[in-house]
Amino acid sequence: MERDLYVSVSDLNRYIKNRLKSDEALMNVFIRGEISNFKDHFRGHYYFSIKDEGSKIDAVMFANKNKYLNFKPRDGMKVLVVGAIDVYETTGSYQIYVEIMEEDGLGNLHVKFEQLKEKLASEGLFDVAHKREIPKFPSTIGIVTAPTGAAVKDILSTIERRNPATKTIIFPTLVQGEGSKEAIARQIEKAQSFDIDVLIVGRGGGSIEDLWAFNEEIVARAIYNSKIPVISAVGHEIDFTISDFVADMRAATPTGAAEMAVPNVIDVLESIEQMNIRMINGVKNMIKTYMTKLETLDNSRVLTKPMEMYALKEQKLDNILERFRVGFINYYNTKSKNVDYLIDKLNTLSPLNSLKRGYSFTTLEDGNLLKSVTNVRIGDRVSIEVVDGKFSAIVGATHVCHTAKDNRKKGKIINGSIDDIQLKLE
Amino acid sequence: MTFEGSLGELESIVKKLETGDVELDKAMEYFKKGVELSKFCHDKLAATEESVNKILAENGDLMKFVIKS
Repeated sequence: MERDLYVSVSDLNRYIKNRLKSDEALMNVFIRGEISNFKDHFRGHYYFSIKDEGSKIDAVMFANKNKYLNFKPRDGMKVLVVGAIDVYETTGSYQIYVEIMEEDGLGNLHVKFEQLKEKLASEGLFDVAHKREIPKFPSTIGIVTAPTGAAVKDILSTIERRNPATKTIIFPTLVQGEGSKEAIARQIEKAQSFDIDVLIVGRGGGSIEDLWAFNEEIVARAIYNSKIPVISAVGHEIDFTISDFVADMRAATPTGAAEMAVPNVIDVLESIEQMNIRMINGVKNMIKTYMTKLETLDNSRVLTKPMEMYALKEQKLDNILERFRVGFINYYNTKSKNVDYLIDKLNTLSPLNSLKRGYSFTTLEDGNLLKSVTNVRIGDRVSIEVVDGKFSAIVGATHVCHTAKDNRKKGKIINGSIDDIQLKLE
Repeated sequence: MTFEGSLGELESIVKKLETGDVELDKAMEYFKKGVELSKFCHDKLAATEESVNKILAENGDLMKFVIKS
């Protein structure tokens, strides 16, 4: 009998379902709210939540209804919805089955996000110039996140895997809900007093409300003021948070942040090895190249056969000497011919020739040639020369002949002898 | 005197001598200098190669150190 007190879960859910369905008001409700957790299922149905600042309700809009929508719903969008409340028995959750949906301007959170983004951008918090470089080989990583949960585990295991020598310091914080933004900001500030190379600030994935702390101004300013380079790691692949914009680097997931922060030590070793090999090859190639160049120079003819340089000069010298010799002989021959001519001419004029033909000449006692009969008196001693000798005579008589004057010029001969001339030429 | 400087000078000396347009006395000067430079370059290269090999021999296992997994 006691057993009959207990009902099955299915029966309970079915009962609740029936109670709800019997309420006319719930079959046609009008809601104003904001879309979150929007999922476009591949079969065409939309699953999402509708919420306000304090509460939310799951919603479904089937493909046969949503095909009439003139907009694409997305998170943060403020909407007006008409639908029926029903229970999904499998999970025991109630939800609204949306019939009609209209846009109701921009969602509140969305507007707040855009406003803050614009404000911080105008203040220069997102400026590329302010971004610090993430050190390539950090020795200590600070992690500002929830101390439990997948995010911190992912970060730690990724760091351990990539470089086990890396030190990690965890700054535990709330990451969602009341007080979370202040806690995150406080832990970022606290990290500043530690010797940390890179700070990872983030959390795992969640709805836009879950991530909201990372869209808060106080967190953004804490990141901006951090002296340590910050990698934001808010687990939301698609949308950016304000933290992402301020941080020096943005990772899509906590694992991604750890990968950015810590180099894979095996890759590093490999690249060192590669560089080593390249360095050695580089030096060896350099020596080889220089050796080849040097050998080329060594093998040049001017160094291997320097005598060729002489040979050219020798030849040039020979050539000039030959020209000198030939030139001189020509000169000599020309001059010789002139002399021969003169000698011939002289010979024709020589008094010897006259003597040979039987003429003679007479000199006075003082050795002067007797040229005129007026230069002698009877009784003077003179010397008469003929071709084969001379003899002396005494003038016995004189008489003047008037035609003698014409021949005087012809009798004039050049001083000196033929022998003299030839000597000079030699 | 750097290696590159010596090699460059040797090269220009060889070029000058190859044109043959050099005074004989000057050519002999160049030739003497060229032989000296060639020797200097050879010695320098040999010394460099030797020290590279020496460093490699002393640090041969530099690249082979193992990390614990």
